[in-house]
Amino acid sequence: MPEKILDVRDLRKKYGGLEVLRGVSLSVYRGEVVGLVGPNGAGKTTLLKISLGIVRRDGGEVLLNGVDPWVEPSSREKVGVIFERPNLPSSMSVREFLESAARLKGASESDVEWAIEAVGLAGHEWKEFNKLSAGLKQRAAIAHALIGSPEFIIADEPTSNLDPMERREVLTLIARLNKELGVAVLVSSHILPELLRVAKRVYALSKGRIVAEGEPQEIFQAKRLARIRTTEPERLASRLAELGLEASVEGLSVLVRSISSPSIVYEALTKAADEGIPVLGVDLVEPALEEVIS
Amino acid sequence: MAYSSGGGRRAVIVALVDMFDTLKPPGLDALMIIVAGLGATLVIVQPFTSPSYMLSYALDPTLFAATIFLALRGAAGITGLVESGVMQAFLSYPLSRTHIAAALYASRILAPSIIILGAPTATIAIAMWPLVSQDPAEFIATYAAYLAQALMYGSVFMLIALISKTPGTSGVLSVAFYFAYTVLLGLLLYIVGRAAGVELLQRVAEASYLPGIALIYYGGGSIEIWQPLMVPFLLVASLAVVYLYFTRRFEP
Repeated sequence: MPEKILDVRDLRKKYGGLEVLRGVSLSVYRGEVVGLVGPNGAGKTTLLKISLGIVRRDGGEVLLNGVDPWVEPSSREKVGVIFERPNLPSSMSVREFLESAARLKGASESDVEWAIEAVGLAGHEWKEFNKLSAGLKQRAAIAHALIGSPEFIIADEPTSNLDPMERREVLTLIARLNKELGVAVLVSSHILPELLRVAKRVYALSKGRIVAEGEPQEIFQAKRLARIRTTEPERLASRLAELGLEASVEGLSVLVRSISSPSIVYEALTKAADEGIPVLGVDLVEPALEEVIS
Repeated sequence: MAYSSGGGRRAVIVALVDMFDTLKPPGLDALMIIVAGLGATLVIVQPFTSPSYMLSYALDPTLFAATIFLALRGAAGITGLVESGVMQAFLSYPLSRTHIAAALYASRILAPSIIILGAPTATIAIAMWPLVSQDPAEFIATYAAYLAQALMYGSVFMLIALISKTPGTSGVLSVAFYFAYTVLLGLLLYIVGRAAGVELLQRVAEASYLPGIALIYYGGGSIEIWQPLMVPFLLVASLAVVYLYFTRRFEP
């Protein structure tokens, strides 16, 4: 079993009287990609900041590289961070800042070259950060996280503010870093299908609590959904409900939740067809975030 | 070429990166040229016989300019770091908060104070060397008194910035503190002390402005032994609070 690079146990945090983390436990092992999914305000960013020692915790334990990051700054050695809002200084070119970061992290100039190439920032590296487009800013922030040969990257919604093509590229890069260099990644998002594409394990966070965790396949199976298109959705929904399925009408479709096995749906559809309820089509759909945290 | 790194060295790198923002033109460069030029002009047209009095003539208005710069650009810039997220990036480095606090203090308060007050001091030293050379120690001590005063203001401004976290609030509260300090300690205390015949109040009022103490001392006046220590004490105390707040409470 690989060693834990991040170990969070029973983490609690309050802002004023508002409890934003309520006994969260999470772990990331060396070399794995872990997804953290949750709606806005679930506590993802706070959890990641506490994991880095940037924000204090009110209770629980956090070990980053085996030590408490609030107390021991060396815990952040070989840890790269991508924050939700790209955040490099605008008073100098991206290249100059990355070189400063390389000096700070004990990396080499060739690391800077590699990071710029890896994220596709070549040709823009001499621009000031605030003159870059949203996508390039995100690339610059990722390049910053890659400086110093990180063994662990914490990425807080790295695909926010990006178009679908750029989102795909960022996720592909994360997957490549993990596959080729063995970099462990903890990546947060409020878009579940994105995380399912790269993560080996997923934690779902809602209102400061972990409400689901496991491998993507487990989450899919536990929250399997089917959308059945019909011209008589009310009639079909009530028939499915009689058969013990959780069904709700959505326009001209019926959404069936938490399906333990697809055969139950097929059986129900056969009975519906026998009773003359028209079925126009069936889609097995990926669970959305709200399904996972419900 | 691989770069080497240690705690102190890393703090210097953060300070240099942050200084790019603090010293970004236009701002300090224009201010420096103006105070240096005006300072030299002011002292050249006046018949001075004392290095400390001559320097104070230029540094009194310069200290006010430096204070405003520290409040609105230096310390308030820290809130900009928090708002933009750059502070989070600094705090995510394998660097202690003590080192980061030192780096921010150096780039936001110390360096601008040295530069703004140093510009007229340097031009006056060059233009009026015959007088300065009569007592260089007095000249340097007077500069140090102004610098300590500016650093004391700057430390309080930095604390305000760290707590308020918004540039507007930080700037307004810092300027308010400056005027409250100068009016309450420097003026009202003196007036009340004088009216009530309480010498201690007058002495405290005098001690609240270290350059004034330097002028009294070098002008041959009498000062209490604790008077030159009051502003340095306030500086150390405010620095200690900044350090404790930044290392134990501050959350970007």
